[in-house]
Parts: sequence; structure tokens; C-alpha cells
Amino acid sequence: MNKAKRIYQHSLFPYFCMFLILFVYHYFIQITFGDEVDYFSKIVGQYSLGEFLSSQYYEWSSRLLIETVLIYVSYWNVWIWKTLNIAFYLLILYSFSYLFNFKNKRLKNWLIFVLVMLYPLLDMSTAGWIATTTNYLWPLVLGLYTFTAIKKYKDNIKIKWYEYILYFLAVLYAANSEQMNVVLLSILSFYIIFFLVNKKSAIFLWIMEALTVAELVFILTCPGNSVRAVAEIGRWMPDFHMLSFLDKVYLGFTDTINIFLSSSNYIFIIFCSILCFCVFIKTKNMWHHFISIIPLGIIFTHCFSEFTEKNNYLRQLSLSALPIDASNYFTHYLYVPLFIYVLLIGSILLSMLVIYDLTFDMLLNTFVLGVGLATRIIMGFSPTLYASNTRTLLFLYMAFIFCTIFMVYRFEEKFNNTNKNVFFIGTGIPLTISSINIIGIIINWKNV
Amino acid sequence: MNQIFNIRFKIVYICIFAVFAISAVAFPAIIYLDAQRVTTIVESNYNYIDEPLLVCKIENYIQTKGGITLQGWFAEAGKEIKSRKCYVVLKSLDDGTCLQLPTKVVSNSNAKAYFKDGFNYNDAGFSSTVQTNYLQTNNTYLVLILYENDGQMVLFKTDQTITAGQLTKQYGVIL
Repeated sequence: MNKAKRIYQHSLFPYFCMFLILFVYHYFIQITFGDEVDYFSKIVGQYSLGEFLSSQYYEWSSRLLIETVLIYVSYWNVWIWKTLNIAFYLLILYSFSYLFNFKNKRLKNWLIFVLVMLYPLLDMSTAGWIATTTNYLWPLVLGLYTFTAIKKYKDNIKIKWYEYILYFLAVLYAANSEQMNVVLLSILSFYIIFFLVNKKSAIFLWIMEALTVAELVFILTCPGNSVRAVAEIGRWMPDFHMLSFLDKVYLGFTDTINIFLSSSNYIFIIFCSILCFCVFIKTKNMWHHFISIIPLGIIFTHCFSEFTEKNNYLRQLSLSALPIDASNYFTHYLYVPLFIYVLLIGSILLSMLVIYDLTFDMLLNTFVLGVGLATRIIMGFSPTLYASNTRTLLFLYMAFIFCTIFMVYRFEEKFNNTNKNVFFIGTGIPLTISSINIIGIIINWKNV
Repeated sequence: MNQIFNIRFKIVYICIFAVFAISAVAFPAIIYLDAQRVTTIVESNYNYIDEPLLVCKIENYIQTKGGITLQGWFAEAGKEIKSRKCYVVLKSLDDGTCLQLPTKVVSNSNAKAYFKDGFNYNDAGFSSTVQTNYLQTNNTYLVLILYENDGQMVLFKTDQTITAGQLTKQYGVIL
């Protein structure tokens, strides 16, 4: 009994829970659809690696490293992919956990576990499980793992020789994905400047930055990307060339917020709730309280609109933003969501300013959210904005998870002491929602 | 927490508040102005294309508050729509000015029914709206199509006209 209690109370217990849930989940996953079934699993044996990479480079994509892994993983026994995928999920937990020095490690790991499990796992199946995870999840996880090197530099922890090799391989793979490349480049540059200002050596960060830049040049010059763009325009967005720069920004921005305001987006709800909670802890200023409630108000107005058929003003205020083009620009109420979305972002930023004040923390959190948002807005410049579905939101989700953990980290003392009950309610509700989400997915696994 | 800026919190707070308050109004306004971008073009800068396989049908003129929406389809027989850069141009028959209006690709099955050759013309449909204040009352406008053909923007002449401010048998009051 005591042993069981000791295991339960161990700070690594959340890892075990995560493994268990993911194992059950992956056990039920069947690879019956997607790009790996239609194409990638048939490459090995039919073409040499050189032939495949050459045709991809000239005709389709710059993700040569990722797709090399993809063709082999989809060719081998499916349990190899399942094992690797579970390991990558656990690596998210490890990397996030490493980045924060909570006093209560168990609380930290549970928090990360809940937040990571709240990510809609089905988003990682939209182009086929193996194709989507190797193209989106794995680069993200390896990128996140790379950031632990920054932490080691910051804390003056010596990086072991084999870790250099692991970091090198991680950057190589992660930077091969366009979105992760932008994230890596931004975060590495941010910290290189930080270390320069603090007169600290960061040679390995410079090497990783150089690798990322080299891959970015490779992505930008790859002829396959432009060939693919032409094909994708014909397939998904024939009037893509008619869109102006502002149209593309608008589409990328509104499509992102539309999805984040849908009622099933628990990560965003939790981020806004904890943000509001921290503002209430930090200050008694009524104006700041009011601003911090705005995001929650907008979310709940949107949730309300999904449950009501009434055509009232509240429903009109909570409509999702539609594309504005030559056929409907004169309909004025179409601009209301855009107005609300800008207010939403503004109130989040102001609330963050209240809780962090003018500190490095404020700068870092704003930067992380900004980069996360940019990785999705940039999708407006691709004809596959809608075709790529919600999987391209992964990086923004992780930015919100990072910022949520950061808030709890900074307010850990206050969460633990003065507001224990409120905090437990605050984490208990998300945990319940998270469980319902997971159970729901398992029940519907046949649709997967 | 380490204070890294020597600026007063209140000033930064007010600045961010002001930027977002202004953006909340300015961003929709800019999108509106961008979406209705009507530009005047010089007709002589473009060549006319004389291709018998090209067909353009304006099927509807819908009056909305302060604007006229033109709906129709435009396609070349035997050529499926892969990507489209196409504008409606209204050429005033009175003074020769040409107004270029952006279009939106819409799904339209009429081209398929018209050609009956098995090709997919679903994306041949278009919709474009011009605000009435751009049109001169009693001026007659010839509808032209400006589109990208082999990397060059060319004009295609339709046989359809609209007269601003007059009752027409076919479409009712235009202005």
C-alpha cells in the first residue's frame, strides 16, 4: 500500500499516466487512410532513395529529411511508428518539464500532462497518422527538445558530448519543417541576442542558428515548393493569385482565431482562465480585472452561439469571421468578428503586461505567442490554408501551453498558498474536461 | 522579476491599449478598402484577345445597398480552370474610362451545361461588386474581362452593357 502511495506521489507519475493513456490510444489506431497509405508506404522497394528524393526536390517538397523518415516508418511495422510516436509525446512532457524550475515538480508534471493531453490528438491524423505526425508533431517535439539546450546555457549546465549529437540531429530534422524553421530561427535569435547582451558565450546556439538558416535557404530555393504551390492552387484555391497581401493576412488571422474560439478549444480556455486568475491575484485595479475578463467573455459568447438558434444580437456578435472578398465586402456586419478578434489579442497582451510588468518574462511570453501566431497567420500565404486543416495550429497550441505553464510557474507560490482551493478547482475542471476529451476520442476511435 | 525597462508601466500600458483600440477599427477599415479596390486602368496597355472558344456570360445583376453585383461565368472550351487571375472591367462608352473590379471565384455549373464536353468548369463562375458611386449616372458601360493568359494580362470583350441610372428590360433599375 505504502509502495503504491509512493509511486502515486512520485514526481514522474504523470509520465507513467501519459504513457498508459497513449499506449491504449495508439493500440486502437489503425492505419487505413492518408498519405502514407496512398503513397509513402509504397516507395520503398519501388524506387531508390535517390530517385525518390530527387523527384520530391524538383516536383513537390523541400522536406527531404522528414519524408525520408516518413517513407521508412510507413513501410515498417506500424508498431515502430506507434512506439516512436508515444516516445515523442513523452519527450514533449520531458522538454517542457526541463524548461521550468518549479518547486513542486509533481504539480509541474501534472500541469504539463493535462495541457499536452488537452491538445486535440485527432488533428494529428488529418493527412494520415504517420504523415501528419512525422511532418508536424515530430519536428515540433525535436524543436522543443532543442530549447532545453538554451536552458542549459542559461543555467550554466554542461552539455554532454552525446547531447551535442542529439541536439544537432534534432535541429536538422526540426528545421526541415517550414513552420518549425521559423520558430527555431526566432527563438534561437532571441536568445542569442539575450546572451550577447549579457556577455555570455553561446557558440552552440550560433551553430544551431546557422543550421536553421541553411535549411531555410534550402526551403526557399527548392524548386519543388513552387511546383507544388501551382498544383495546390489549382486543387484548393483557384483564385489565390487574386488575393492581396492584406487578404492573406486577414484569412490567416481570422481562420486561426475562428478555430481557437470554437467551444472545444480547452487549451485556449485554460490559458485565458489562468491569465484572468493571475490578474486578479496580482492587482485590485478594477480596470485590469475588466480587461482580463474580455477574452473569457468572448469565448463564452462564442460557446453560447453554438447552443442557440436565436438570431439575436449576441449571436451576431459571436459569429465566426468569414472571408471578405469582392462578392461580400459591402456587408458591414462581416467586419464585427475582426474588430472583436483584435480586441481579444489586445486584452491578452494587456493582461500579460499586468501580471509580468515590464520584465524579461513579458518580453519572452509576448515573443513566444507572437511567433506561434505568426506560424499560423503565415498559412494565409499558402493555398492549402483550409486544406491543411487544423494540424498547422500545433505550433500555436504549444505556444499557449508554454505561456500557461509560465504563468503557473511565476505564480506558483501564490497558487500553492493563498489560493489553494481555487487553484485545485482551476486545474480540476480542465482535468475533467481533459478526461472527457480522451474518453470521447477512445469511444469514437472507430471513426479515427 | 527583473525590471529590464526604465519606462513607466502606465505609459506602456496606455500605448498598447491605444495601438489595439486603433487597430480594432483601422484593420477592418483597411480590409474593407482593400476588398473593394476599384482601379482605373488604361485600355491601351492591354491587348484584346480574339478567341472563339472563349465564352463569358453575365447571368445576374443584383442590386445591393449602394452596389451592383455582377455574377456569371467565364471559360474557354476544353480548358479546365486550374488557377485564375481575372477582373471585370467596366468601360464607359461615353468617356472611355475603364474601371477594374476584383472578382471572386464561385462555383457555377452553367458552363458545364453550356459546353457539354465532359470537362470540369466548376470554378468558371465569378462574382464582382461595384459601388454605385464609382459609376456615372446615365453612362453606359461595356463589360470586359481582364484575365491572365499565358502569363500576360489580356482583355476579352463581352457583348453585355449596363447603363447606370436607367431601367433596363432585362435587369431592372441599375442605379
